[in-house]
Amino acid sequence: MKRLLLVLGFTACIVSLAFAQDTRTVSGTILDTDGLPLIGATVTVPSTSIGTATDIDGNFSLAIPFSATQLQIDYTGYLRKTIDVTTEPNSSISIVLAEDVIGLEEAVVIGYAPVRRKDLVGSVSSIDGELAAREAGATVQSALRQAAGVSVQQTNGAPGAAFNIRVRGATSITASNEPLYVVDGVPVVNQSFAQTGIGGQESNSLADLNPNDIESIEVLKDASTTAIYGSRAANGVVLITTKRGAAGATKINFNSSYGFNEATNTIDIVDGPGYVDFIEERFGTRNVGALDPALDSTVSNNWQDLIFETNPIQNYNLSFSGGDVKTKFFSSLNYDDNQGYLRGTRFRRYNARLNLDHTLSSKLTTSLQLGYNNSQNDLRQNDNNIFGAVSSSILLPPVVSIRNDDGSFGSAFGLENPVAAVDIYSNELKTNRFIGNSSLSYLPTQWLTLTTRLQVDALDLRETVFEPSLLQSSPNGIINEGATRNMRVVNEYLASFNHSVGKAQIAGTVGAIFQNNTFTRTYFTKTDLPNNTPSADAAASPTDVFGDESSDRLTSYIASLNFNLGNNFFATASFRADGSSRFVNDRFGYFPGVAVGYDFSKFVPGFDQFKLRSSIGQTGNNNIGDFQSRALFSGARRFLNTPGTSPLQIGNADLRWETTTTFDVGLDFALLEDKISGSIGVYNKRTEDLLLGRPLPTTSGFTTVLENIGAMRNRGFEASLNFVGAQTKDWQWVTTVIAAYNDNEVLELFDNQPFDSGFATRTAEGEPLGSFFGFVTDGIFQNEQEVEDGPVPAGLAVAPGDFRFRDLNDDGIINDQDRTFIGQALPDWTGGIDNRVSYRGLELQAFVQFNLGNDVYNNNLAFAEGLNSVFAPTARSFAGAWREEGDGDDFPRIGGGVASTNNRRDSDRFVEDGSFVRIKSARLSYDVPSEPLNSVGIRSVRVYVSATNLVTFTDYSWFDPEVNTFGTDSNTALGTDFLTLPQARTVQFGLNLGF
Amino acid sequence: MKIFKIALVAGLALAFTSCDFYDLDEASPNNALGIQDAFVDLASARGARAGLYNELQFNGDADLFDGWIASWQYFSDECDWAGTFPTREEFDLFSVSPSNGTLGAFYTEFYQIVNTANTLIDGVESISGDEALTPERRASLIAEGRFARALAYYYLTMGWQDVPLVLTPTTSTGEELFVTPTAQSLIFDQIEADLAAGSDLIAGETLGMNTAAANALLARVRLHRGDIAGAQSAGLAALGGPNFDLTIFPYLQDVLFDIEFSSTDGNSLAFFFFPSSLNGRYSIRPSSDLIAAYEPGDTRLDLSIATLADGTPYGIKYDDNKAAGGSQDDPILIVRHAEMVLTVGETFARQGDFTTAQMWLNQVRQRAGLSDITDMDASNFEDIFLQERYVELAMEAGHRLWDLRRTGRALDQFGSAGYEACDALWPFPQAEIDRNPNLVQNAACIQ
Repeated sequence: MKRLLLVLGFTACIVSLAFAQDTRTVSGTILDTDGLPLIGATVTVPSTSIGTATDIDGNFSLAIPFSATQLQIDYTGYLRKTIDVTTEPNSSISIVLAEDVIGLEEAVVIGYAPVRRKDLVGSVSSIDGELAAREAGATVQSALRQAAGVSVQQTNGAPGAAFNIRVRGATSITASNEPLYVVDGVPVVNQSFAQTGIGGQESNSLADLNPNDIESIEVLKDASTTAIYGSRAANGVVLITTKRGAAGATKINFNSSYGFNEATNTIDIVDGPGYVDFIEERFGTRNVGALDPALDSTVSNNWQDLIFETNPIQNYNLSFSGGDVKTKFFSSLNYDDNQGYLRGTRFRRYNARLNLDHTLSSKLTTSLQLGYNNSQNDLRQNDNNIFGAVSSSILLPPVVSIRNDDGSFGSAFGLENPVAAVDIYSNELKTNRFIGNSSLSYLPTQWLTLTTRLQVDALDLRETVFEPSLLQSSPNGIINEGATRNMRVVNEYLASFNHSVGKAQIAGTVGAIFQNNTFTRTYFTKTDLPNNTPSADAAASPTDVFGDESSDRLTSYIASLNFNLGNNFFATASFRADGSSRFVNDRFGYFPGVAVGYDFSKFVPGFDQFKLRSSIGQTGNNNIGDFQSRALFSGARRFLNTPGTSPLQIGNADLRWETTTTFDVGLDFALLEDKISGSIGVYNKRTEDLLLGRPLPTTSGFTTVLENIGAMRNRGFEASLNFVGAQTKDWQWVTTVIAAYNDNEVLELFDNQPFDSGFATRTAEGEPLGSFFGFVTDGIFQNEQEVEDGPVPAGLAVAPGDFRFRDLNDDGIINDQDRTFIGQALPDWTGGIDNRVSYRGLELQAFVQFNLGNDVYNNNLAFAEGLNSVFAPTARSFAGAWREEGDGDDFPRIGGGVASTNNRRDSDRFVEDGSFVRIKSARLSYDVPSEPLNSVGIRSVRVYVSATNLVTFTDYSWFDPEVNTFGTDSNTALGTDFLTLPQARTVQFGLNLGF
Repeated sequence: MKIFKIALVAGLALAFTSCDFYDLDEASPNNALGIQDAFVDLASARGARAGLYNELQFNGDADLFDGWIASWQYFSDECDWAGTFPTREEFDLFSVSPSNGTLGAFYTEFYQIVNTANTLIDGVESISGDEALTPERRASLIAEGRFARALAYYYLTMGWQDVPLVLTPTTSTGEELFVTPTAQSLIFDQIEADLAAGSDLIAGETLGMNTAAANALLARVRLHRGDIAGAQSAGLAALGGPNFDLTIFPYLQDVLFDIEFSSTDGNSLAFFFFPSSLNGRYSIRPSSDLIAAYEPGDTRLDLSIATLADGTPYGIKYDDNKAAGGSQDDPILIVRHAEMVLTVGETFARQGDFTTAQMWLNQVRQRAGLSDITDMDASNFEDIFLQERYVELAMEAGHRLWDLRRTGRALDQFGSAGYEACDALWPFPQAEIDRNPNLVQNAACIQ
């Protein structure tokens, strides 16, 4: 209705203008400096709604009132020109526009208004959208590897897997450490919504975005750029801008690729006879059937070979873009189908997008960016999970049959049969999601813009998990169904101004922003399926039925100011006040940020840019549960069929934000006509008032209370260097190097009390997050005398062949007091080298990623190399087991009981160097010369072959050092490998066509 | 015209902000309530009471198995560890370290029962203005809270002897939470006082707790403390008098109090007891000593232990293995008439009345298809009762460990397997020591 009124309003205005005044016609041609016509340049009478656009020859003709004295000509990428039309009333004029040397593509939207890149005094990494889709099965996060100071970890290798993204290190222990993602101005949700646990891993709701739609990604890292995002910006902000149309002929692009996923490596587990030998040494019998009747020594299965295979990956993307002076559009369709090399895993996604920009009049513009996604993610149980496919493929003895005579799957020791785990189990996550931003801008004068935006991120997820009775987990069949809806609505009201006085330019924005996020879900489980009918109707017995709703609201007020004097001196200041429903007594947080910079290039010979900049500011983190600050009784504590309530949390009405103060100094430079450019910077990020679960004596009935205690610091250095080796008509060579060093330290915890998480992770003052804690091995006792010499654990009759641990406190016995820090999961250095060389359309691109100085806690070894249990051991551990004096210090004796207790304890035996250098992506492409193509109506043709995860150089002994079995679930338990599905190696062939 | 447009934009702006859609005060959970709404009338008090029974079911299925059943049985000659979790193996090896995560988990679960019970007792007392909450009903609800509290403290003191005694609901998070341990005798006094309130329980109105069960637990505690006469009177009260006849109940049907489950409010007990070929995890197995302890012809053996074709034994007192883990409905048997029959019998024996003692004992034996004991005397009665309790109550709780400690025989019986004098109690979880500066580690063996 309002929209209709608007249109009616304008119609009335235009009509009244047309009849109120006599007009004259002005016509002319708009050319660029080379004399070529500019198609679609806008010609308007300032302060009126009268205007037109140039045609294909750059010509225009416009009826203007006699009273009009000026015409204004605008064209994307060119400087605005205003001409006087009082002296030449009725003649044809020729107008030449000069290119804007900065260029629109150099403008970035940081905060709530565009800023020219050259004016930036904050620390921002920009990623070309072209790079967003270059990895196989790419999601938005994988592109962030190109940004200095952003640590990107894919936690497992399933298609559509979740990522851990850390911008300049982790700032929080309890709240989320993920950056805020903003897509076309919409702050989108990025957590996992799947309700069914499948092991340690979560789903990735950012996999919903189509990377092919991305025009550019900006990673805001310092406080002067992030403070305007206030309470959610402590972990940095990732701004994703999708492609927009440009005036001119409609362009059609069709990109397609097809390829294959495969496992990068497998683990060498003993075969059937090897397992029987192991059991004989372990239990003194070759009759494996005595351990579990499912074991049959005549069988020998390599479970990994039975579930890992080469599977297809394909992507098709069709886009249209174009428009005229008033209306520009970009639309796209995408189909992505990624079948993981773990049979059964698959991620399929359909995307559609429509981006529209429309100029209603010279004073009123409107735009819409609307993305739709429909995806299906087929998951398999994974990780620390006896029903997991990878778990059982490692641990299940090779002497178990794939199928028994009665048709059931072979299984032992409670482990699922790996073949059943991939072929019979089914888990589908189906997502429907709209992310949309609709905006209306009103420009009452040239220097003022009033904008209102309505933004939506509407996510609907349905999950269906079907476990037929053939599975170990499901004696009579189980069906689980869940429905989750997350609806986020944001309203923005902004006023921006931009004004020049002499050499000074000043721009600013004030605004009010309101957000409502409501989350609703239901979930049920039913069992007893007749004939394994996968239907909730058919299932006889309900076991779990859940449903709840939760919401949070955010009310924000923002102000920012940018000042630029003579294009040399720059200053910005920004401020945000955020009020959150998550807090009770202390609802509003205030987040200021300032930055100054000066370009010394005219004093530094040879440099085109030499801009020193510095910023300081505060940002917050409110990413905790919606109602954590309240004292609550749970309503979900029924007993049998009687409704029940009981204490849920003690609450803390005084909770407030985590506040991160960032100080940043940087230098942006360019020399030799931009042949070498780059930036270097150092930062110090200190987070106070950490939202931390203060451990309570559990005699209180509670284990923790959330309080603002604790502090953490990240200090680091980051650099990016862009080197243009050649830029001629035939040859082009560009190398980009990015590197970042980050030093994380937990400064303060409650009462200096460390706490443990994961398998062997301890969070303690003075140590970085993700530190591993345990015993230090000191070789293996080779004989009785060495055992006697000790030290040995109290009350444990260790024998030769058992590990000796260091008695760190020299009290003669080994106990918990002898544990220390034995490694750390966070890398010291992250970064990569991107190399692009092309010769006449033939191009080779390669991106080499590195991660240095991180350890992995390889908990696989405790099981597969424990040599104490019924699980299948690795071939190397069985061969290398200690059997007699002189057998070395690598593997202990085979045995349970004391040997198990002693040798499996958390120790540096399981800590491995996880540093790696990886050829992450490589692509060889050829652009067919345009001359012969144009004659048949084809604009461009590119063919390519690309590879992802081609080679990894690492000392890590298991599948892949880029891993975390705790997924994105834990801020503290990091870098731990436990039966986690590793990343795939992928080769793809592609064809891109442009019309 | 300009004014019109501005009005339009302003109108759009106000359209969304005027409603409470964005109001910070309007966000609230729909599955939880504020503390102030938890105790307002009889219905809400009964809701909190059901919540207390829910706490008896524990929050975690593994904790439930460990805390009510497995840890005590590993830590004796009742059952053996058969799984893959090293923290459980430590119990089997009589080598429990303070950092043992299993230990810490169920210690916490028992104190959550205590706080929920304290909250119920306090909350019910505070309600006013609801006529339906008669004095009798109020007393009965409070007695349910005290019953649960007594049960939790019984397990706590069996595990750790002197433990922190908390009798008020936790409403703040200051230093008042740093509670020091209270001597076991005072813990027992409190348990007895709480169980004495069991006479207030109104039959038919509780969710399962009853006066007889309260008396039975009272008898158990008094026997443990050596209060023979007190145990006898409470035990007889639990049985309804000296004319009680156990043989009318089939084995395991003589339940005085159990923690119940259903398919929609289930557990994983059968999953932990059953072998993998029967959809189980097989984390625990009856010990060879236990199997050998059954006399030939004992009908309880086939109701307690089954054997796979290859000879693998497994406990079947929790046998809902047809349902998936988490949906199994086997109850946890807290106290049965048979225990009371044996308790009363033992008190008579300790008083020298072996005829009456044999009468009670033989009820249990007759039901099991065994011949009567007729030669009981001062020299053998303890062996006889311990043997009978061993097989009668096997795999239900921690009876074997508790009985051998109570009679001072634990070191003799388990010593060869690693039990030491300092294993009479478990160490406090290290996390508790770390969290509570007033808590000093106890005298348990520290690994």
